[in-house]
Amino acid sequence: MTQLLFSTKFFPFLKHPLPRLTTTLYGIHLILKRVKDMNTIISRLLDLSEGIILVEYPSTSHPELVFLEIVKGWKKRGITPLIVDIRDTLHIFLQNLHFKGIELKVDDVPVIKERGMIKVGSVVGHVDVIEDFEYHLATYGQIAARAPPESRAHTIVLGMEKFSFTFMDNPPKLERYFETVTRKYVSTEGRIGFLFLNLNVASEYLRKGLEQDSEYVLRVEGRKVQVLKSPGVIENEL
Amino acid sequence: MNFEEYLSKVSPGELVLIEHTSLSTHPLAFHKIGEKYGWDRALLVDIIDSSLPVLRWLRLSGINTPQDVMRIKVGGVSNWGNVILEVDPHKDPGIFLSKFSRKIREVYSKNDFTVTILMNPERLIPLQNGNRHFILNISGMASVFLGNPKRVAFYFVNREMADKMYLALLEEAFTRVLVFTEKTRLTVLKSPEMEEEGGEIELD
Repeated sequence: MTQLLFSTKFFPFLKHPLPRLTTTLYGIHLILKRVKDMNTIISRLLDLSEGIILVEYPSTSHPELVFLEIVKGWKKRGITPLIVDIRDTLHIFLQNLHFKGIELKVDDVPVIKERGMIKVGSVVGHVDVIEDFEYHLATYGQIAARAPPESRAHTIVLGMEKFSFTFMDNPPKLERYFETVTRKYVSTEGRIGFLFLNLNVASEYLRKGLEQDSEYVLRVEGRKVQVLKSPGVIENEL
Repeated sequence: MNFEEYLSKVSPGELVLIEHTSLSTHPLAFHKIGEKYGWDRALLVDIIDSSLPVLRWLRLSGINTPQDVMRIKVGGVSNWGNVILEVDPHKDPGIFLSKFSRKIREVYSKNDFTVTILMNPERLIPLQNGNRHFILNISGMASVFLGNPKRVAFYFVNREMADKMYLALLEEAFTRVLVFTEKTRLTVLKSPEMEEEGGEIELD
């Protein structure tokens, strides 16, 4: 594990270095504690019945592997999730899996498309208005009602950074977005929602805002996942 | 590994991003891609004549340059190659992007296999004053053809000049990301075969 973390892969040529906890011994200690095999962490999260889980990933990493674990894991538990596909991110994830030799079937998975052109999965509707939040939420609500309640209680949102792309450097608008959309849309009462966020696209304000509103924050690092936040105080373990 | 060997790992339908700099020897990569797949199967999407300095570099290096390549001109003044479409990137993006996308579909449907080489799409962003909707639209267009087995595409993007968010959107969608870390050396930043990542590719 340490070998993987300190391999050249994560350091010299990364164009957008991410803040890391490796500068102090204490930091290294934390990483050793918290970085775990992706499957172990995802599988624990899938047994939760409530919570918002933010999945952060660098643009050259493989978030599609986390997505795969979530969909497969829920399937095993007899759960069909609802996928919110912002600007064809679902297509991007499925194709990145395809070229790894993995075919993930989503034909029976209800999908709400927010912009984008490529329909994959069982599309229950399109939401094309994004920047008028009230209107957006109303349309979203009508469409989501077409998905089975159990799916609605298990939501995966792909492409968070593409939703707010045009206003993510505008804190007043972002605050309205957090207030009107994110806090309602994946409402936590008896629901679980995974939000996927591309770190190299998201602005600092967008990332920090989403981190604050999420109970769990995960960061994808190669085949590992780092847990940056989770409920409880003991070692911040899952 | 050398670049030719690396190219044989790329499957039809993939999108390959080559991040270069203003000083790198990316013209060699351009040349090798054309030679490998055959210039007769190439479609060059040339943003504001970005291919010209590349061809001049090759010529001055004593390397043969392609003559009659199928070419879509997005702005620019040079008429070299077989120009099949010309669009004006200074105009309304809705218009030129739909013209462009119609043409490219036509090329893919008429040919068994096409290797699309896009030269420096990042230059379109300042022309549209950095408009965020435009950035989303052009990065979205790149991923529409992802997985289409009738083509493979190589994007050359100058990472020193490109909008960082645009670059990150491409990196997420593309199956392979190669970055010039030295003048004639590329590093694999992203690959479907993850164990390849961090590996180096020699160009000469």
